[in-house]
Amino acid sequence: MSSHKEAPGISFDPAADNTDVYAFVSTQDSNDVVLIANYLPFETPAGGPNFYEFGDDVLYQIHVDNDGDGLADISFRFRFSTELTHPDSFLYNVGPIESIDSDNWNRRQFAHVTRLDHGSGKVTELGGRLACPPCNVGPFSTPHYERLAHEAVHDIGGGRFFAGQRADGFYVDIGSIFDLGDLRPFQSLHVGSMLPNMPGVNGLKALNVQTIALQLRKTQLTAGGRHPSDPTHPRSTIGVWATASRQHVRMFEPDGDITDHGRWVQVSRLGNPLFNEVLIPIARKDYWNAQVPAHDKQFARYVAHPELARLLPALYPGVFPHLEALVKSGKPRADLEAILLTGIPAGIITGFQNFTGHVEADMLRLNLAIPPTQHNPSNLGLLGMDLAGFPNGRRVFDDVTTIELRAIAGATYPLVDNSFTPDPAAGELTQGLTSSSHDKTAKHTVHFLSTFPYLGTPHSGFYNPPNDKPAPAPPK
Amino acid sequence: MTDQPSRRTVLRAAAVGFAAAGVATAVPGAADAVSTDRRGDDRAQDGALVVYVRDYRTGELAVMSGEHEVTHFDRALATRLARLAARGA
Repeated sequence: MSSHKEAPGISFDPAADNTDVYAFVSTQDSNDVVLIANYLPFETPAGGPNFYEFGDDVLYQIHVDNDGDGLADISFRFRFSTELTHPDSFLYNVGPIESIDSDNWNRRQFAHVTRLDHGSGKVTELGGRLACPPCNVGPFSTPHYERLAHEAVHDIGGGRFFAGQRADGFYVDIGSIFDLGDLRPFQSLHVGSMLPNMPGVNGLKALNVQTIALQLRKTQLTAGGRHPSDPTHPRSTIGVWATASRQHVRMFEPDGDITDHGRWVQVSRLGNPLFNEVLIPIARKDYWNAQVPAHDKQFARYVAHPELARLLPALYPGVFPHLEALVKSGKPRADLEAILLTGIPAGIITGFQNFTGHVEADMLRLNLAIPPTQHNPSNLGLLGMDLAGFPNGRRVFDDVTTIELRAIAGATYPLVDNSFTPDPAAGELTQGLTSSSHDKTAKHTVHFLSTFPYLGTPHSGFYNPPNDKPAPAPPK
Repeated sequence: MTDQPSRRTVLRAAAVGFAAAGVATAVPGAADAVSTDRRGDDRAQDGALVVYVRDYRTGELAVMSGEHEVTHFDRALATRLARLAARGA
């Protein structure tokens, strides 16, 4: 998946596990940019009695690099604190939670948000004790859930902030991909196939995550506060990634108390989806999680020579002959290095660039000067000739798995070598989860909002198993 | 406020009760201490401190107080802690 349990170590620490990062220009106000970081994968909605929450002992951060060196120029830092209203009750809530300050809500969480400008060292308090919404327990406990969530959207520092449970918007046929790449729509062509082709299955259907979302003015993120209006300007592109850190030492006391000590140590990070999951070898995944993007040159060979590109011709004999020849040639995949590590330079795709320089760093690169696609966006992003989509940042509905599968299969190699003809199959690869390149619902297995915080209303515990109904818009 | 943990700081930490390589005990002082502050702040706090002996042979210690951490080199102290740890083995 994008980054759900993608490394052995972090798979044991869900509260600190980055699952997805999104960065896109707001369709509501093109002067704004939206940054979203999700954590805590595979939340089964019926998660009582101890429903899901952020870790009070975790430092969550969203980082922005605005000068292309792979180091954070701005970091938004999020800490959480949990309070009990009824410590003698075993219940999450002792009655209906009608409002976000309801006394019936027993275990509630608050966010504290700061901005660190690394150049000056200035720390700005953006908000303290900002209420998070409860989890979506069910109709008796959390009636009018959309209203509760709307109450948890806060105005901070000239922007908006939300932290709390959301429906996971990432869609992936996890069951097929990790069954030796046996993509269901093509499984009759798989080397080990004994079954006919069949529709894809969204393995994250009806699961929730914990979301941190910010909507800010673009000028709050750019170097010098300049307004990015020229897509060709080298400083119109920012790099975005998110991390989670824990303190160096944890002590378990005999009375059940747990204390943490020491400096913060990064245990999880995420920029481009699937980077650590699909490209980095299993023995180095936890190490990768602890690194900063500026040091990603050490991982560049896994991008230039991806294991999956070697596997596809072997798993699907005769289907990828051109990819097989490319792999055997030993040529580095400069297309993937551009997409994932440096950004795409000008002159390759008409009217587009998101090149941040020659520092190889895994960041989600967003050219802020490219306006959002308001009508009929393509979930295939740049592959669908939609310049506002992945890998120009990432929107919530972008089919990043299909985009990256096609890219690894060779569909993007002509960007750097126009003598290469991709295999027809490279352009047909799909998980089978969307009805077309304009399907923003993954065949009604995910739902999104058209307004902040964009990710859909979390699935209800009571209505679990799956509640696929699209979320209603929040009240005005 | 100093950038370096004084020996007194380490001793006070020991008296409050700290863990070092699995050993919680009081520790006498040691000489030849050189420190490098990672976070620019070495605030001793009222609560417990944690001292982690990274390598007793080099004398490298990590002294942790709240969210702060200081690297401290003290071979004599580290060697003595190692002897104490060996007693519990």
